[in-house]
Order: sequence, then structure tokens, then C-alpha cells
Amino acid sequence: MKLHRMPYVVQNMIIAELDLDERMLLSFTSKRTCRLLGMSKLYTNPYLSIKVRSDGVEVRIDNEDKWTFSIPYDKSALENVVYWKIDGSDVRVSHEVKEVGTEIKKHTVSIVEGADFKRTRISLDPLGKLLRHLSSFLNYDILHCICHTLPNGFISQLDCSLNYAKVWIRHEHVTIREFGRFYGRFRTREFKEDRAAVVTPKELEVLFSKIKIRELKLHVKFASAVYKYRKHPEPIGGPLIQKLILENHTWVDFSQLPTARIISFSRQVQSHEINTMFKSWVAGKNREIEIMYFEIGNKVTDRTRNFLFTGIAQHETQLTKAEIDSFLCYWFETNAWRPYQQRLRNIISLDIIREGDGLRATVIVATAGSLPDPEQKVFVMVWSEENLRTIGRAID
Amino acid sequence: MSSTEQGTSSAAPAEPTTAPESAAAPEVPESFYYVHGKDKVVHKVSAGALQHSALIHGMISNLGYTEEQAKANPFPFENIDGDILQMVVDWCNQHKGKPTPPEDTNLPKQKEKLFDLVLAVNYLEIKELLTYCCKQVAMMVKGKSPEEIREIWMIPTDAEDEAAEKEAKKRAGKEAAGETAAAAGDAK
Repeated sequence: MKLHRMPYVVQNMIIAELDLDERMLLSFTSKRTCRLLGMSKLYTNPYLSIKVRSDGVEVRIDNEDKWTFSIPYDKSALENVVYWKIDGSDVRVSHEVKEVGTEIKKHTVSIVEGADFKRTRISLDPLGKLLRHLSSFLNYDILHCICHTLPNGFISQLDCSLNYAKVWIRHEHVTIREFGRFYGRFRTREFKEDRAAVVTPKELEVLFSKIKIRELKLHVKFASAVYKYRKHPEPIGGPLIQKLILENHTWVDFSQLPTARIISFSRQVQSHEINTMFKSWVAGKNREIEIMYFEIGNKVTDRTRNFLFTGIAQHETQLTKAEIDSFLCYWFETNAWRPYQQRLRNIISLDIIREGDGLRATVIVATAGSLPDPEQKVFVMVWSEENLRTIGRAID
Repeated sequence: MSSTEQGTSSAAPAEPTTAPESAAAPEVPESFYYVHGKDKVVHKVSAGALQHSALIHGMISNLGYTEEQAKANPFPFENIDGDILQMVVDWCNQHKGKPTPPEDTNLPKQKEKLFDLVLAVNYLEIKELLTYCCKQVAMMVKGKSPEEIREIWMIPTDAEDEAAEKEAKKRAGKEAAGETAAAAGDAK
């Protein structure tokens, strides 16, 4: 029975009868077989997630069957090692199968080569190979990449031809132990500190302009504390990030924001930074942005609020209260805000207008949270076609 | 429904023995055609059974044979082994005028026979039987490891594929050189 001597139409019919498990196992037999599988991809697209942790990299595929590929940094426990053909190379793997429930199988494949992160901080080649191999014969329904730590060279291994639903990059929480007087007694207390992952300007450029990402969440910093990210001066026609969540922004130049449709700042932004952002938008920069969200702290007076708009012409908003509510509801839903976060009060709104084409943006400032620490939240809704549709306004 | 007899495609076949008619015989006399494989054994098959094969059905429609002409000129399928053609004919007879079941358990279990059957069925364009065969072939690798799959489906290693490709290129080069030399000889 020689599969490769069958007529092409028959090969395709046989492959159509195979589910994810058989296709996966078949793909590891040879390059030619993998190419054949790529000619007729699986009809039901699986969910793929890449997770990078301090103990290794894990790639999971969920369809009816589940596959977990791990590239552990510690290889000592691996047994029954065999060679599989991954992206045209012989790769040593250890494969385990467990039955979960009825007819569902859980495969765990540990890749022996590479990712010796603790010693060399390099060699993520097997991950690149694995991702190229899988995408040669699978389409993904949803693709997530969550980095709890960022090994050197990881970003360059991401396949730029794929569409990522989510890419999150941050450093793992670090447990801090502190001895002191707490709650009236001397004791050691432990708390978790969120830390930023260190990236290079080149890696950031890859994330912003080479990889198709729907939601990019970054908690990153640079080796140089004074570095400011400057986007390419000319539009380079790269993929547009739908939503960019910045968990720290020390590296952001507020007059030239990264290119994204929605930008959300998780940490408090200074009034002068917001003022720079508004001024540059009015002057015609950051044209891709349609929604911005940030917090401006809890002690905001009318004077500070006015400082946001220094040097910018303010206009009475032309959105109705219902339209503002509709926009806020959209924000709550898409960002999974909890009910207490939704209780906004003291809502003030005004419009700013872009020079040149007269495009309008509505700035909404609102208070959330309860005393004694209320938070001031700022939303900017550019009057783009998509936003107007969202709030239910008819477009000509 | 089918019958077999030794014969050749060039000579008129001897009268094949007819299988017992089914209890519910059609009122209109059914026409029969004749096919033979590599072993020259002639099989008599009813037009109704042959409808499963798009290839033979097309041939019958285009040729407009009378029964006598069909008897004198059996359709030759020299690329199909006799026993495989027998299996195909039996299947066509069994499923004549009936809706095809969701699966067929009477297919050969030996992988070489199944491989030959797939090739024959694909050539004869018998869609339903081809679907059953492909299902059966796919079932062979269920729960198997990559190495077992390689063995069952005789998948060459990358090195073997590369060597075969090199060999094919070499052969093609030699053939092209031979043709050029022959053309040059003709020109002289």
C-alpha cells in the first residue's frame, strides 16, 4: 500500500477521512507527506496557543483531540525518545498519549532539542520549526501567544504569515519578600511585583509592523531607559493592530504613537502627555487611531482637566447622551469591565477637530470608583465610520 | 449475476455461464455487457450494474453497442488484475439499483489487495466504492505511530525521496540527451 503512488484525487480522499490525530502523526513521517497534507487542510480549524514560561515553551492545539508540544528547559525526565520529521529536520521527541473521556486523546510531545533557556538564553529554533511545520498543514481558528517571560530570539521565531488573535508579552510576576512592621507587628510579607519584559527596538518593530495581531498587550521595557519608540515615518502598509494595550509606557513618544486602531493605557498617563497626544492628533498625526483610553489619576481638578486641552480648540460635543452611553457600553463589553467599573459619574464630553479634514473626535472624561480613591478615566472616540456605526449613527 | 470465462479481447468470447437470475427479474429484458482484466477472464455484467462505473457507462452510451457486438468485443481492462476486476464486478452486481449503505465491510483487509482495488475503482470511476475504499485505507492508520504509519503506507524517508528524485532527473537528462542526439542524426 504505497500512499504516494495513489492518484492525487485518491490521496486527497484518504486524507479527507483523517482527523487531527492521524494527520498530525502522518505529518511527522516525511516532508513529502507533510506537503500532501498541506494541499487539503483540515476542515475544522483548531485553536492554537503558544505559552512561554520560565520552565519552557508550550504549544497547545485543541480540536476534538488535544495536542501539547512542550520544549522544556529541563530535559532530564524525558523517556522513550524517537525521531520525528518536523519542518524537514529529524527532531528527537518523547510522545505520550492519554485517553480523556470517551474517544478523546491527549497527546503530549516533549521536544528534546533546543530551548536551553537557563544556560544559553538562546536556541528557540525547535519552536520556529514546530510552528512552521504545524502551519504547513493546519489552519487555525484562533491563535494566541502568551509570554510570561521573553526568551532572547523568541519574537523572531513567530510566523509572520499567520493571524494572531492575541499576543501578550510581559515578565512573570516576581515574588518580593520584605521584612518590616506591618499591621502593628514585625513580620515578613510577600507580594507579587509585575515586571516588564526587556525587548529590543527591532523586536518591537517586528511586533508593530510585521506580524498580524488583533490584540497586542505589552508590558515591556528597553535596556536604555531613555529610548523612545519612533514609528516608521512613512506608512509601510503593514498589518494594523486592532487593539494595543500598553501596561507601561515609558518608551512611548506621545506625539507619534504606535500604529493601532485602539490604544489603551493601563497605567496612569500624565496630563502633559495627553495634551501632546491631542495636539498631535489635531495636527493630523496618528491617523490610524480611532479609540484611546487612559487614566489620569485620582486627584484631578478642573484646572488639571483644562490642562489636557491647552492650546487645543474645544467644541461642544455633537454626540447625544444616548450615543455616548452606547459608546461606553461598547467599551465595557469589549473590555469585559466589571459592573463596579461601569459606574461612571461626572461625565464631561467635548469635541476636538482635526485640522485639514475637519474630522471630529469626542473626548469623554468620567469618574469611576468610590471615595476616597476615585479614578478619572478618559475615552477618545474618533468619528470614524466604524465608531459611528457602533453608536448607531447612520452614515451617508 | 456475473459469470466468468477464459477468453481474449481480440477473439469473440465463448458463451459465458450466466449466474442465476434474481427472484424479482425485471420485466424488460436487461442488456448485458462483457469486461475482462489482465487475466482475460470475461465477466458478463448487466447494464444496470455497470451504471456504477462512470467510465464504462460513458463507453456504453458513446458506442451504442448491441448485445451481440458487446459480446464480441468485451471491454478490455488490461491494467486491472483478474481477481480485482472480479471484486469490482461483484460489488456492482450486489449494489445494482440499490441505495449504497453508509459503509461496506466486505472490502479486502489485505493492504496490497486494497491498494489494487483503489486504483481499479478510481480508474473505472466508481465513486461510492472509491469512498468506501478510501475510508478503509484511512482506518488502517488509526491509533498508529508515525513509524507504524510509514510502514503501513510504505512512505519513503526524505533521503529515499531525494534519491528517487535525483534518479528521475538523471533519467530525464539522459532521455533528453538521447532525443537531441537522435534529432541531430536525423538532420544529417
